[in-house]
Amino acid sequence: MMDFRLFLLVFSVLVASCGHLQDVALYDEVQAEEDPWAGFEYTEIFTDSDDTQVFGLKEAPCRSFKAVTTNSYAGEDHMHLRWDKSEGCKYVGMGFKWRDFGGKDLSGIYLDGAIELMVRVDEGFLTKVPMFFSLQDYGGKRCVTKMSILDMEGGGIGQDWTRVHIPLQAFRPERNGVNMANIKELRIEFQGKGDVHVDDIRIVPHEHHYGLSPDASTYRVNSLPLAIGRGQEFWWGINPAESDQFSFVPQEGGDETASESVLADVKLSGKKPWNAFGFGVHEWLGVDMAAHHRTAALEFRVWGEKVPKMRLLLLAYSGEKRRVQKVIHPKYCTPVGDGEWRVRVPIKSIPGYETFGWNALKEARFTVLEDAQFKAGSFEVTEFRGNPEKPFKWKGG
Amino acid sequence: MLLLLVGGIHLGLCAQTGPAHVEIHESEEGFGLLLDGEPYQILGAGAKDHFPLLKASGANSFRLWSTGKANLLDSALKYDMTVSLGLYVRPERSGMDYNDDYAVRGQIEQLKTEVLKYKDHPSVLVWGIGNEMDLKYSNLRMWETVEEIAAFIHEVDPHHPTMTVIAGFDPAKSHMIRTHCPSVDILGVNAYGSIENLPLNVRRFNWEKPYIVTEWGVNGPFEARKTSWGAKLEPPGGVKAEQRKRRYLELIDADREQCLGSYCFLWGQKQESTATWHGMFTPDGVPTDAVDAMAYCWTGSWPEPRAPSIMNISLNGIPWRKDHRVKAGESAVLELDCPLCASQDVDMVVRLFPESFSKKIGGDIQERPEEMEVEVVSQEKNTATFITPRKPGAYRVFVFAQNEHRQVSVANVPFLVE
Repeated sequence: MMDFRLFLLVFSVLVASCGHLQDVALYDEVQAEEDPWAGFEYTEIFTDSDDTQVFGLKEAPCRSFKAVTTNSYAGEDHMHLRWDKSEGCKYVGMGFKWRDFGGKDLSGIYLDGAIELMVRVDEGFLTKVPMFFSLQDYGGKRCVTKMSILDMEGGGIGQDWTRVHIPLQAFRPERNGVNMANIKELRIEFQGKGDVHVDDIRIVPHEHHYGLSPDASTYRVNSLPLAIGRGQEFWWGINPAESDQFSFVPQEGGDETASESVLADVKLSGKKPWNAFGFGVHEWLGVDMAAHHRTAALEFRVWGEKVPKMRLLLLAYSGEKRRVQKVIHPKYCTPVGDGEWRVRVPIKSIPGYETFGWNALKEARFTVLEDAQFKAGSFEVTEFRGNPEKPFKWKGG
Repeated sequence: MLLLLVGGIHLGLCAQTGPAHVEIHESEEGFGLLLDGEPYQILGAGAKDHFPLLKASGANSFRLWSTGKANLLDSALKYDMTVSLGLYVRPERSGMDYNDDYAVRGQIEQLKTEVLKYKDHPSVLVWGIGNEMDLKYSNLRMWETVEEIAAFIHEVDPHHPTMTVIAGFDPAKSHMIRTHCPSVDILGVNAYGSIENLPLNVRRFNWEKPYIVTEWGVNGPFEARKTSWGAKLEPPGGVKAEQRKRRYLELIDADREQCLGSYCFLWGQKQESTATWHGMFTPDGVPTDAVDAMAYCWTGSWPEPRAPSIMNISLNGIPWRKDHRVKAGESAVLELDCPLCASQDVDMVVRLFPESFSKKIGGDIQERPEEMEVEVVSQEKNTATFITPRKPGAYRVFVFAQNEHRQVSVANVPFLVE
């Protein structure tokens, strides 16, 4: 009985205390997302020439932009656009004031919005039209795109009204620093020659299924040394079917990570001697060694009586200067064994290296400038700070 | 489905004759084209006009850079010629981003419709995928687009080989096309000064398929020497004509092993630094001595009558290769060396322009400067005296030597009024 009363007491206390318990949510409360379209006031760009103002309609020999009332898609009229730039106009364009040039914030709808328009032609079936759409912000910056076959309903424009979408993402405003939160106007600019009807231009929701692929053209160098000249398929100038001046030396032990070696038996004869070879520095990608080139050297080994007179040429995919060259001076050649030489060409010794495109290095090319027999290999870019005896220390250090 | 519809519509238009069957034939002698089973060496020009003279000069083909002028396929049919038909692939330098999947996919799908539209035209010889997209490019993904288009052509068009056209040849491009574009059958190379080493480089850079020299001629403005104020020095017409002839005979025609032929540049006229640099016709449509040179290359004999051919021009006794500085408003004497003029009735017309310093590259469109009035005070058979402009600046004076048969040779001298 005592136990039962004790149980009742504890039970009563627990029940009474429930009123004082705080509610604890298992999950954070999810706020309802604000619909960016809900407050978007600038949907309509063009319906009728009376209601939605258009500019740039002045007649000229190279263009005729007119509002016409026959066979419109919506409203009272539509725009009939005819142009031929060869008739002497440097610029052919027209535009839409789009709510009287009010600053329009498209940033909220940028990812899932598009310009929609209806287009038709009087004859034929077009999969491209030389007309370009530009959005201009109040800072004077503009971004341009065009109609893509991917967003033409039916895959092209015929004589019936065709719905076309131009995804806002296709404008790539980030490339020109266009402020999508303060857009002034939409323009259509024209190239070549054309004749189209356009109507009912508006902003609509749109799913865009395309993105940007990552850069696949660059190999970034994070540290030195960097073995270069690997893989025979990335070399040129060695073609036994055409010339026996150069040949590959088979790799010892099948080390695929090692640089290829080349055996040279060069005889300079004829107007156009076969006296050069080269390789893509890294699989013909653009090699970005901009962070390293000032403290680097191009290094390789030569086996032979001496290092022949050779010219080194470096080429880049881009840069203010895209080729630099240097005849290899004997002072860069150090004997390191019986008939073996280490050749080390400091990058800073190459004329024009300052403006060369070190973020897109493409090729190393060697031209043999005298009759010679030798083997060359172990090509690499090494750290070099100016002192040949202590390459990793600053000169004099 | 839509693509098939587009192709089907056009097939109807071409149903009268159907496509020619073109294939690459490899033998011990090397590569060759077979057109409907017959050996076919391309004797061609980049052309949009002047087709009767092109045909009469011995050419059998012309090149179009895009389908924008595809109506000229019918002109080719009319004159019994073939066409290397270009598909315009946007180069990076025009703003194309080959990492932008939407732009890339849109371009490919659009070009597929053009392939279907024109593949059955009887004048089509080869497909030229792009033109100089590699000029100052950095995104190697561009080659994926070339390959996808080439593979699509092989899928839908069994009659025509594929070619991609590059601006000069180098080992990187050779590697990229070999490894990334296996569906490309022919390398098209636009080569001006670099044509001198092209046959050698094709072999040094391990290109093992055939090639066509898709643009060639005289050295381009981008390769020319300049005056101290940056004006490019254009050789006189006769020197250019002679250079064309030598290059054709010694470099193009001599490489029958891998070279399937060529398209000289330009059977027409365009502004590229000057109005006469590459064009084999004047802006008024008059054929120059370069036309004669090409007729010799294609037929082995000179046409009759011959055009005048200016071999040298000097201003105030100083040859065209040197800097010319003159005073404002003074008389200046132009003198021509034109051996072929001696036996003809030749009119010499002097024309004056402000210098053009366009920085456009890769054949991109340049604006032509406005012609100025020029006061010619005296003129004889090979000399003319004119008054230099009164305003200091850079100018260029042209001499057009035209015979009674409406053939012309042109030379010019840039000069600086101080």
